[in-house]
Amino acid sequence: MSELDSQNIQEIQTSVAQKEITTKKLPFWRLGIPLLLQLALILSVPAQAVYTYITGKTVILQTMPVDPYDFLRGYYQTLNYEISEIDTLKTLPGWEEVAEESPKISANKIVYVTLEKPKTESELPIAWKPIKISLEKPENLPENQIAIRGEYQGWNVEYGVEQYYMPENQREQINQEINITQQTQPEAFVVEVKVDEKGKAIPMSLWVRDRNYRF
Amino acid sequence: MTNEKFRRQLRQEANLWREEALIDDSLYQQLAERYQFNSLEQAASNRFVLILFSLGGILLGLGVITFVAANWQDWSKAVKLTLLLTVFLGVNIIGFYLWRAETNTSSTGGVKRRFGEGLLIFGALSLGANIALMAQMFHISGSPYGLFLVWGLGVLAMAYGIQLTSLGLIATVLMIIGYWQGVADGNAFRAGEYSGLKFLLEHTAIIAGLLFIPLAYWCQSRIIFVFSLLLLIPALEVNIATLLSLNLPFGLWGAIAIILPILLLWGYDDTLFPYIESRRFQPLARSFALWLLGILFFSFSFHDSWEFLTITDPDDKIVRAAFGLIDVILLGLLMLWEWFNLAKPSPIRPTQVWGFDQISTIIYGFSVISGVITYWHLSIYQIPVVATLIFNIQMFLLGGGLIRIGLAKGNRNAFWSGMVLLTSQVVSRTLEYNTELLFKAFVLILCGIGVMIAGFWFERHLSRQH
Repeated sequence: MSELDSQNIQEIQTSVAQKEITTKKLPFWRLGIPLLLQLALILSVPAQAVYTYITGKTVILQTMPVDPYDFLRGYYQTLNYEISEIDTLKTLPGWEEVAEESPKISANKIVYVTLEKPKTESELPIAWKPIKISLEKPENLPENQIAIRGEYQGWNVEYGVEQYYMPENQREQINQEINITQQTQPEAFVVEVKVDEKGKAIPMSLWVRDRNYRF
Repeated sequence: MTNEKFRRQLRQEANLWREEALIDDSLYQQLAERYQFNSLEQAASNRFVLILFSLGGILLGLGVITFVAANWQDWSKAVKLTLLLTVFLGVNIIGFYLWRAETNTSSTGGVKRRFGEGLLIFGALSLGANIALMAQMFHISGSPYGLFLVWGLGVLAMAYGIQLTSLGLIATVLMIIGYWQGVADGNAFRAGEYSGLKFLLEHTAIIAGLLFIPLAYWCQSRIIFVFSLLLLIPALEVNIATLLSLNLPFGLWGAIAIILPILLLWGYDDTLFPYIESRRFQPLARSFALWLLGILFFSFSFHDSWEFLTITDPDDKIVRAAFGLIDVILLGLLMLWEWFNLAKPSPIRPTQVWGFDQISTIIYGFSVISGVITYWHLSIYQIPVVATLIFNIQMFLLGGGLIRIGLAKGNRNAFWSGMVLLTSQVVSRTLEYNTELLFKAFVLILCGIGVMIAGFWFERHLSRQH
C-alpha cells in the first residue's frame, strides 16, 4: 500500500514539477528560428515564379479546348495547350528520340519544346509555333526562339501553366467568352506566359480575341 | 488527468472526514498541501478556458479568412502580400509573448496563457493559408498533398521550438492527411522528376519514426505518440506493399505485412532509446499492437476473406520499384533489436535466463502462426478452410487471454476488450454461416445475456478484490 502511495506522490510531484519546468520563460529564439523557417517555406512558393517573372521572355502559347464538362475546376481555369497534346508533338522533329526513351510503364520524362516567334507582326498576339522537341535543353537559341520545359504525363505534357486563378465575380463571364471563342475562332484564345532560360514558365494573362485578362 | 480526478475525490472525502472528525485539521492541511487541493479548480477552469479559446481562435481564424476571401480580388498583389505576412508574423509573435507570460498555475487563472496558445494555433493554421494563397496569387500549379506535407513540416518545426502539444498534434494530423492524399494521387508514386515531396512520401515511415516519435517525448504527450503511430504503421504497410515489385513469393510479402508491425509495436521499449529513462509509452505501443492483432483476426476470421486473398497480377500494381525497402529493412532491424532486448536476462524478470515472458511468447506465437498461414495460403497452397479455422481459434484465445488478464489484474480495459472480441466473434460467425434464423436468434440472445452476466460478475469480482 505504502509503495503505491509513494509512487502516486512521486507522479504528482513530477507532473507538477514538469509543468513548472516547461513554463520557465522560453527565450525568443525558440519562436524565432521556427518562424523564420516557416517564413522561408511561405516565400519559397512564389520564389521560382518571381525569378521567371523578372528574367523571363514573353511567349504566346496557343490553347486547345479542354474537356468541356471539366472546364472550371474549383477556383481555377484549366488550360490546355497545343503543345500539351501528344498528337501535335508527334509531328515535330525529334519525336522519335523522345518516344524511344519512354518505357512502357509511363515515366515522367522531362522534354523541351522549342518555340519560334511568328514572323508576322500584328496588334493582337499571335501564338508561337513549336518547331522541335528534345530531351535535353537546347543551348544557344536565337533571339526569336525559346525552349519551354514540360513533363510527359503519359497522355499529355504539362508545363506548369495549366492552372489560372480568376476572381469569382468575373469567372462566369470569362468562361462563357472562352467557350464561345473556342467554338467559333479557336485560335483567338491564347495565353501569354513568361519563360526563363531554364525553360520554366509562368502564366501572365489570357487573351480572348481582343480582350486581355490579367490577374 | 487521472490524478486530477483522484485529487478531486480525495478533497471531497477529506472534507467529509474532517467534518466527521475522523481526521484532524493538521492532517487535512498535510493532505491539502501534498495533493494541491487549491489548484484543482484552477486546473478545471484552465482546461475549460483553453477549449473555449481554441474554439474561438479557430472560429476567428475562419471568419477572418472568409472576410479576406470576400475582398480578395479587389486588392493588388502588394497589398495581399503585406497583409498575409503581417498577419502570419503578428499572430505568432503576439501569441508567443502572451503564452509565455504566465505559468499554468498562476493566480490570474492562466487566461493569457490560454489565449496565447489559441493564437499560436491560429498562427499554425495561417501558415497553411499563407502557402495556399501564395500559390494562388502566382498561379502556381501545386498538388494538395504537397501543401499538407510542407504545412505539416512547418508546424512541426514550431512544435519543436516551443514544445507545445497542440502544435505537435496539428503537425502530425497534417502529415497524416498529406500522406494519404499523396497515396491517393496516382501521380505521386510514379517515376518522375525526383523531388523532396516524393522522398517524403516514400519514406514517411522512417520520417515519422525520426521526427514525430521524438516529438512525443519532447512534449511528453501520449496523444502525439498515438497519432505518430497512426502515421507510421499505415505508411509502413504501404512500404511493405511496394515489396511486391521485387520478385518475392507473395506469401513472404503477406507474412512480413502481418508480422513486422505487430512485433515492432509489441516489443517497443522506450528505454532502448538514448536519454529516455522511463517506459512511458510502452503500454500505449502494446495496446496498439493488441488492437492490430484484434483487427487482423477479426478481418480474417471470415471465410470470404481468404477466398479474396489471392494476388493475381503483379503488373496491375502501381508500384514501380521497391522504394519502401529501406524503411522496411530499418524497422525490421529495430524490431529484431527490440525482441533481442526482451529476451535478454534483466533484473525485471525473476528468472535470469534468456527467454521471453509468457505474454510476449503468446503474441510472438500469434504473429508467427498468422504469418505462416498467410504464407502457405498465398504461396504454397490455398487453404481457406484451415486458415479460417486457425484464425478463429487465435481470435478466441486472444479474447480469452485478455479476459483472463483483466480478471487477474482488475484491468477493466483488458476485460472489456476481450469481451468485445469474443462477442464479435460469436456474432459474426452466427451471421456468416447459413443457419436457421431461429438458431441465430438463440445465439444472439444467449450472447447478450452472457455479456451482461459476465459484466456484472466482473464488477462484483473487482469490488470484492478491493
